[in-house]
Amino acid sequence: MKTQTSSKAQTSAKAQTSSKAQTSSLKRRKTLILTTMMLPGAIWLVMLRYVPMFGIVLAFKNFKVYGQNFVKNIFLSEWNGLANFQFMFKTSDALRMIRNTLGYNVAWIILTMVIAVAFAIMLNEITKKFVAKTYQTLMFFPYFLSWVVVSYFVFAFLAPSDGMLVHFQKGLGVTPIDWYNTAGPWPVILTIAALWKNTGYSCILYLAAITGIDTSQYEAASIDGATKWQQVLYVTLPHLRTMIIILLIMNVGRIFNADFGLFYSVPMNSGPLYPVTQVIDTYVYNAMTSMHDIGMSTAAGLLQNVIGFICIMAANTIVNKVDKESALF
Amino acid sequence: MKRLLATALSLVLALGLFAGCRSGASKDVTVTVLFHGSSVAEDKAVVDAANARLKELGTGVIFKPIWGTWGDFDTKATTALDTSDSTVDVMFTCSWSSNNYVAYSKSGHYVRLDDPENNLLEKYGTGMKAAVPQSLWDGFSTSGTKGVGIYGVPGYKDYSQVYAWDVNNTRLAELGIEFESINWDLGGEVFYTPEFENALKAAKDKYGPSFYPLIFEAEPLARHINTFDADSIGLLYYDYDADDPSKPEKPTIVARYDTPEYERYLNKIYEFYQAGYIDAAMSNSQQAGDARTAALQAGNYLIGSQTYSYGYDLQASAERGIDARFPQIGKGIVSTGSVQGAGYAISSFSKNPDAAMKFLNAWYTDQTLATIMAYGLEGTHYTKNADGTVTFIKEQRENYAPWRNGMGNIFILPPEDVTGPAYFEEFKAYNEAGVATALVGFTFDPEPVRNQVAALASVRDEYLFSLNTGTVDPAVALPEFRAKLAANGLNEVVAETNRQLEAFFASK
Amino acid sequence: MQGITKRKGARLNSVSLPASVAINTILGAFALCCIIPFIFVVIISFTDKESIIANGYSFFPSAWSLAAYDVAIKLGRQLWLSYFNSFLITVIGTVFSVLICILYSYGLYRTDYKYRTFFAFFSFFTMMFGGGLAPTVMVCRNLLGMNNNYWALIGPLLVSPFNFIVMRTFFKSSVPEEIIESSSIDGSGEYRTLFQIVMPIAKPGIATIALMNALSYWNEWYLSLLYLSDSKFYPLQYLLMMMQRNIEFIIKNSSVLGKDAIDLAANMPSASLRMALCVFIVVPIAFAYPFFQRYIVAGLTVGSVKG
Repeated sequence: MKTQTSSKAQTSAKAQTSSKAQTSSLKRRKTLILTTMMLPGAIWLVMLRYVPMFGIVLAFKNFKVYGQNFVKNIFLSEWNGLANFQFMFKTSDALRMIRNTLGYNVAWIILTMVIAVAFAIMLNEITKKFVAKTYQTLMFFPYFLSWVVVSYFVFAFLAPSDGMLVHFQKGLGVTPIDWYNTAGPWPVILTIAALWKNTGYSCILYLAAITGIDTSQYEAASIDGATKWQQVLYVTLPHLRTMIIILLIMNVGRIFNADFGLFYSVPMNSGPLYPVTQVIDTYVYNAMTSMHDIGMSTAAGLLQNVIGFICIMAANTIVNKVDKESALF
Repeated sequence: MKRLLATALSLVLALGLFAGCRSGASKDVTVTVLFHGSSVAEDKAVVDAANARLKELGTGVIFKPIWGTWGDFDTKATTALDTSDSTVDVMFTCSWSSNNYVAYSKSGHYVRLDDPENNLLEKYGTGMKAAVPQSLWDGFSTSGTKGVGIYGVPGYKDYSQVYAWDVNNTRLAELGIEFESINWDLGGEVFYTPEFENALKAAKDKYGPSFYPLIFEAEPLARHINTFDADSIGLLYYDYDADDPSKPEKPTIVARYDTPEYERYLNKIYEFYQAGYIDAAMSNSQQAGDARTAALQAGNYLIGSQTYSYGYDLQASAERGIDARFPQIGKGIVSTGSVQGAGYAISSFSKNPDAAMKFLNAWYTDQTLATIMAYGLEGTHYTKNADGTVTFIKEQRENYAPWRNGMGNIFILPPEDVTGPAYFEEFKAYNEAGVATALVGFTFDPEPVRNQVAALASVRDEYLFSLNTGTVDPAVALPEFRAKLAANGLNEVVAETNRQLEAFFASK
Repeated sequence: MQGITKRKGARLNSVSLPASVAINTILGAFALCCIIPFIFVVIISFTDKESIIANGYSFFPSAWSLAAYDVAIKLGRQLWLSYFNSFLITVIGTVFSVLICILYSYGLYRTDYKYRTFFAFFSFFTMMFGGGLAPTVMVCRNLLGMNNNYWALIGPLLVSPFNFIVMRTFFKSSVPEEIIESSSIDGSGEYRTLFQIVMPIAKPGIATIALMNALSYWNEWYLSLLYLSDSKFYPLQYLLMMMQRNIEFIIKNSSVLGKDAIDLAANMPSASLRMALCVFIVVPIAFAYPFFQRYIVAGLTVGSVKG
């Protein structure tokens, strides 16, 4: 009897350990298989992103050529501390360009988000699919046009002698505004251009996320007597939350980077508009056209990225505390 | 993660070193040349012909072109240099392109050609040395990583710079104004006379509000106030002697926009703008070029300004269908900028600098080779005339049109039919008439004040264009501009320039 | 019972008429604003050069002309070659970049995957930091052989960490974790679960990512500038950018080039020609767009049927 029970207990223990071993080996197998899925992307990231990162040291070096090998040249070049960073602060415009870069970015992040989410919800409410499709296609169109082409279009409106707005003002008997030499209206013009070009893009991301929502949830809400507005508030928006937060965090990381084409091409690099159009990226560009310096341009990019990185980490930490599911990592 | 990075890094190092050890041991060596401003769609036949000629000459070199265009050259050249690209052996370089001759010589990107340890110029370039005038070699002498010497081969083209008015004499005649009644060559800072102003007014009255008699370029000032053009930011200035540009012998640099001459100029140009003599389209830097070209080509102007090039009168008159005249402003001058207007350097990363030098020498001295490269093939791209000139076959030439002034030694090419058989002889005389300024060979090195230069470049872009075109009121904008220049360290830049200049004179 | 059906009907046709009118007005107006510039670009491309000089740009030019479309004849073989290159790069690039993206973001999405956080940070970090232009070009050219070949135009855009994160979010919001658990219990392999069960559900998200990738391949020109010197590989967008950059260069350097600048500017393509090229570039992607959109909308209908 005794031996029987003990052997029984033994077998069950054996079975237990073997099933444990089985699950852990299964788990390892799963991890392995999932890792193979990561490999193509990971290898690419190593080769095209991580390996070139040795170049970051250029920001702290006075680069000179000593031989034919690039990597060796970088290591042989003298260190010069933070000297390459100075040019971004030793200008009387430093505050102005930081204000412009930050100000436009913050305003546009919020505006684009609100408008794109609103449009995506509206598009989803249009019952005639053909109409919805048409709107969506048209809204996405500006995204196809490069800023250079957009700048032609803006110019067609605002050109000093034969722009359409100028003609219109003349027709009304009003003294036409010399648009490219008057800074006042440009914050509005730039905002319109930015929203016009980027809303369609964000809208599609949100619309695709809405499309993924199971319709039975709406039905259930509807049966419970929820109005359309309540359905948006309690079903749609909570589902969009993750996408909204992710896009917000990403945008926060680029808060010190400006869309160069928008600020350079659309105002046609016109000097009198600098008070409202100069951003960090255009300043660096102008400096680098007068003086090609690989150390200085690396330093400028690095500084923007470090600040962006700090912002993103801060934003992610906050999101992690509030809503762990939506955090980046 | 750290280990991964370390492994990756050593991999790069190892591969890089490995690549550095490979050597081209085959007999014929390929030399890749990066050109500027080309418009080339089809080059196979031309390159084959050039290589056949190189073989005849026994150079042991195979030529391979990269046809950089105006828009992509700067990025292509600086990328090749910044990434130690060994696949580009020879490249165009000058004082105004991004791969700036002086700056990149200083950072070691170009091979010193007269290096005492390996004097390529003496070994393979004696023919070329003789073909290009000594004054150009002098202008190309610069201080690089291997001491003061020659780091590039000067392009032999027009190097005497003359500023000129561009006068539409057809319209002037319509207005009943004699060309000679206006004193064009005033020199110095005064660029207008009552007669000049009256002509503008008469044209405006006659041709109506949408006619703009005066056409300026983006940088008009350089044409009307004597200047020196060796600083990279266009803010520095000295006043040379209009009668003898080589004087003063040891000038001092001042800030151009602080001078009373500049203020007088601005007040006048603002007056002209208010009077409607200047098209508002000119006030926009992106639009000015299009507007200017359109007006010039259509003859819709009375007076413009221009960097004169020998023989342009005939060409411009023919193209525009008017009687275009180009009265000179002051004497022709030779400056660092005009001498370093074009050239070719051998990249420090080239595996075959010897072969590159052999190629350059052949290209600069052999008329057949130079003609093939600049003009294409006889019978296909051009035909030869009895008087030694060539006539282009337009359809084919469109597919193969390198920028002629960037094609090395253009004086060994046969002249074009439009300019006449004696063109290059006359051109040489015109070049030689140019007077060298005291600053030839001097180039400002912005490195000690690079933070200030970066800040000033932005201030300049903010104010200069609209001030120079008269769009904004100088009474308001000029004091602002000056204050901002001062706040961003213009005085330090001026002091540094004068310090460098003293050192330059001392070394002479 | 009747009440429920009524309300169900209300759901299917749920917004009230005034709200529907408002929605249509707002979206319609915005959509119109979005398409007008393109129509304008088309009009300018057909406008006679003289008319532009005389009246500037206008919706109603005084004279029409096909001259700008001579660009098709003038560029000749290069135009069609560039068309081919653009198509080739876009198709191959999109297929592979979407595949890589699905695989990587699926791993990020799986909460039970051990190294999920590591790989999320691993890709995110590269969004913020890079080695800069010169070191990247050096590595791509010397180590990875991206030099004068199609690989140079496809390789650098294969991975976008941004898309990884967006795709993961799509998975999160549309694929319930229970589905994966149950298919795992059914003995389905990881790859099979991904391709046969998860992908059909995530179609709208995948179509969106594919569209974004196709667009970035189609609009790419900077890689050509960096890695190409042989015109037989030039994509269409590069032709347009080159014209634009040529013009800008000459404007900037007219004082240096002097007489050369005028000669050159006179031979530069006119505004209408640039617009014509722009039309050439936009039209194909505009027509390809509904193809992607079908999947985004198809997802919607699938959802409705299920409900």
